[in-house]
Amino acid sequence: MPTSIQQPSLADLITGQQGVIQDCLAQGTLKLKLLNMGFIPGTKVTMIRNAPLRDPIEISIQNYLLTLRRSEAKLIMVKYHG
Amino acid sequence: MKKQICTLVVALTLIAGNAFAHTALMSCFDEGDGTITCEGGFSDGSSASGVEFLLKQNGKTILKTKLTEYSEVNFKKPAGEYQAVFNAGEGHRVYVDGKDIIE
Amino acid sequence: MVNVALAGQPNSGKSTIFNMLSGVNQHVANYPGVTVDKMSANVKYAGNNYQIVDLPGTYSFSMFSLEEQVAKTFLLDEDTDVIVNVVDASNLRRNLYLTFQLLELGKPVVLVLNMMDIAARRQITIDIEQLSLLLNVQVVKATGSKRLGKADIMAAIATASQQEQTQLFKINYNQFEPYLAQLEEQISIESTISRRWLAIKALEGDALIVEKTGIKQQLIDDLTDEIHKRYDLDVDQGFARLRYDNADTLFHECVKEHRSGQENLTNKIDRVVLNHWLAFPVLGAVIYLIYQLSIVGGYELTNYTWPILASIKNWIIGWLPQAQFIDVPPITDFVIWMVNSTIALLNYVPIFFILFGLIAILEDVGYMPRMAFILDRVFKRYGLHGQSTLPLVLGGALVGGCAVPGVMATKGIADERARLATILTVPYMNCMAKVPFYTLLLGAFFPEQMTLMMFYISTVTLFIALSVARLITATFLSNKETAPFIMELPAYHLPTVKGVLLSALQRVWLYIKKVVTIVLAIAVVLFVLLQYPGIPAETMGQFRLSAEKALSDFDHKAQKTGHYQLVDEQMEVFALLNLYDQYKAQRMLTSSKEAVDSLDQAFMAANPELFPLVRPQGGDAKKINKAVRKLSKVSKKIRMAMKNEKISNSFLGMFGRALEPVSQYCGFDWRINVAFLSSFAARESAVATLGSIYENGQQGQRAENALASDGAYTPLHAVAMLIFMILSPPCIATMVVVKLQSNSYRWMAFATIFPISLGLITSALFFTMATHLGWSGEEMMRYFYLSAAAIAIALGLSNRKKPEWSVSK
Repeated sequence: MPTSIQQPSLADLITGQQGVIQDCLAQGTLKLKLLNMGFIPGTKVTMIRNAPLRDPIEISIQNYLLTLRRSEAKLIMVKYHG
Repeated sequence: MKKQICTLVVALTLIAGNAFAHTALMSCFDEGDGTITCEGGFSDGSSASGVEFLLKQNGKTILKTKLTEYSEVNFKKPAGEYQAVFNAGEGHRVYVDGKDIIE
Repeated sequence: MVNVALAGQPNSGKSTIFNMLSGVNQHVANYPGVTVDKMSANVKYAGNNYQIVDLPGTYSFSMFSLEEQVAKTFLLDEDTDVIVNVVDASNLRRNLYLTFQLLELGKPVVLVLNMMDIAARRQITIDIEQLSLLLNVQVVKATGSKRLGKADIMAAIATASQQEQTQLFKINYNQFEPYLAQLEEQISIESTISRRWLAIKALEGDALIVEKTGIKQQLIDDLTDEIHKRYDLDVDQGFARLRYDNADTLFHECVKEHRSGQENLTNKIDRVVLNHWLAFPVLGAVIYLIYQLSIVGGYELTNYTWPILASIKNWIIGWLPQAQFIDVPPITDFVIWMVNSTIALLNYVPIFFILFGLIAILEDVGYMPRMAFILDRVFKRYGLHGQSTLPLVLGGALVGGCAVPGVMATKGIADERARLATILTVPYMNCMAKVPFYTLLLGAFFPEQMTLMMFYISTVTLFIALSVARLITATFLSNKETAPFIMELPAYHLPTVKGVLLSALQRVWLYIKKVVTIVLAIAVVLFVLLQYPGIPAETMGQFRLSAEKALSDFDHKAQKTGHYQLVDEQMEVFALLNLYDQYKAQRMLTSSKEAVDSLDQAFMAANPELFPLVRPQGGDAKKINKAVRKLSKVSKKIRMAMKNEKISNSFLGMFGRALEPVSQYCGFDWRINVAFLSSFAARESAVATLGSIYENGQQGQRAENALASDGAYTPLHAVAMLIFMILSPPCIATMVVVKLQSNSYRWMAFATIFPISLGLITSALFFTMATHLGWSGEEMMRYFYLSAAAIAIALGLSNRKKPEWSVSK
């Protein structure tokens, strides 16, 4: 279920689904970290898997693998791709 | 009751180990007079008196006692193969084979 | 001397490159005031000296992490001549994010494309010339794990160090340019760093830079506001976007990827390791393996190393002034005490060496982040981190572990708050050395229920640890910021043997240098506390009487033999006694026939007259031998009693008595207090500590009767002691590593006082309840266990009051 009616977030992607980053709603430390790791609007991300306990999630961005908590993923707005 | 006191005492002195933590040790030798003496201890010098000592032969326990206040035990040398066991709990056990105990 | 700084993102293989360049002569230090490692090495190349410093891995130069601040401060304050940027060749785009910021510093840079083998495998080709041209730096290929590229890198560094002018690398920051120019003018300090870099960082809001350059914060705020109003842009996002855009451009010009969407080895392994059903079994297997190899295997190893240490001890004792029956010279006492302390600590080295090696392997392979990924959800609820797994396991989960390596393993935890929480929590796990204590008490008071009780003890620690973690993070640590979880999962790769060995050796050395030294210093203090004021004259007189009696006893027996003239003088008796004791001590350590023979020969050669009495042949000699043995026993007995007396009267003993009003609620009378305290310090405390204290107190009443009139020690007392033992800190060495890892004496004090208080209160609570409610020992333990479990579960399920991350407007 999307976080809001209009915009899905990274947390809404299901396994294997791709998305393109639209916006980053995080603040402060989290925002900085996300920027450093390449979460720039226009970047493609792919949802790889959930952790066995469903949180955190693993995504692939550019050429590498990242994990982040769902609470953090909810702040990254995406557009479904493909 | 006395047994319990002694054990309590000894147990407390074992807390000594908690200052530095320790390995269990035991050495045995043949006294040459038909008895064997085994002395137990811990690597940090803690006394091992009151710790359980066993003699095993063919899977059976032929002797079960505790180390004296001097951390040692003296017993009659069994015939055949046997094993001396210093048992201070999980991870703190020492096994010595009878054949390795020499004069 | 050329100063070189190695900079790069995490997982770029920077440490491997550093190892490759530096050989084994690495120097590990600390950056001032923080617990980040500073690795440096001196390398000679083509007649010049290069001082290479391996900076901590950072993704960028922003503000938020300790590593970034450390790296930035280093580059600002120290005079670096050349920067070597190690980059993951198969991940160029993201790595360029840092590269740009390094280039903007204005110093000569050498770009090292590392992990070329992986890039090749993924069929990624990089146009080195084009890259070099566009960035205006030398670009060197390398594969650190295969030791390829050392010469090229050093040559490039040499060239870079002789560069005259560095053409300033510029990214066009579009709308920000006029603001940057404005800020550049405001910079008042002189620095080898380019002003443009300083201005960029200032505009990005870097407090450290703003302070250093003397720019007014107000100006920054004004400019930022203006930018926001005019362009509807966030400075942070703006810069990041521009950097990544440039990185994209560069990437497309220089890099060709022939295969995308690769199913590579890492993915294949992850499909198993991170599989919903297999993840936990795999995790369990890995942890079990580490535990078996290090704790159990290492323990086996100590069976071989211990005799060596003990022989050294015996050798040293041989040099000390000899004991005169019951009079042991204080210097001898002291040295023996210190030697015992030292070898007890050194005895742990084999275990730690294996352990640190395994941890290094685990880190290098890349499994650690995956561990965190799997367990984070559970640990997060208690304020811990997925990476807290290993430290907690090492401290002893279910079976006995050791808190010292457990706390040392908290190094890698990214979240500062969780890291501190872990450091303070590990000591509650199952300490190996407490096991004999449990075994004894259980054997005496709960012989039938031993298994059940042991189960309670070994599992309750986890509940306690989790509860304490939650408690601490909610109260004492609540002011610390929690970091984002975002974590990279690096590709799996084989660790290098050299890297693993180096890491293990460095950490073992750290243990010896920092932990052993401090614990020994404390040992000195403890010695004093136990020795003085000493045995009161009257009691001493009694001991002397016993001694005299034993000696005259011996004299009578010896007179009946033909060897009397050897021992007719008291000094000779002492000499024989000491010889006997020394021989026995040595003999205990030798096991093979050959070794025993050579030992005998050595002793014979050194003591031709007296040794035959120690290893008697012939009736007379055997008689004296028997008498000596008896004498040895008696002397030991008297000395033990003396020791107990000394302890009882010592400062420590007085302290124990003073504690009684408080400790009585736990069922601990002053005798138990003294025993606890003295055993915490006096590891050679004799067996009869409590017994003799009782006997002395009751003036010769037999221990049984004394206790009968006193009230017996019941299973409840035993459980109270067990509870206290479970909660109290494991050892002084643990406290020392807590200080090392937390870099604060305050936390060390907290980590000592809090558990002891908790132990006292809890055991008092349950002892009182059990006594009044008439519980059995097992019930008391059971209710303690259930309470701990209930608290832990309740805390885990309780909702956090506020969400962790807020959304910006």
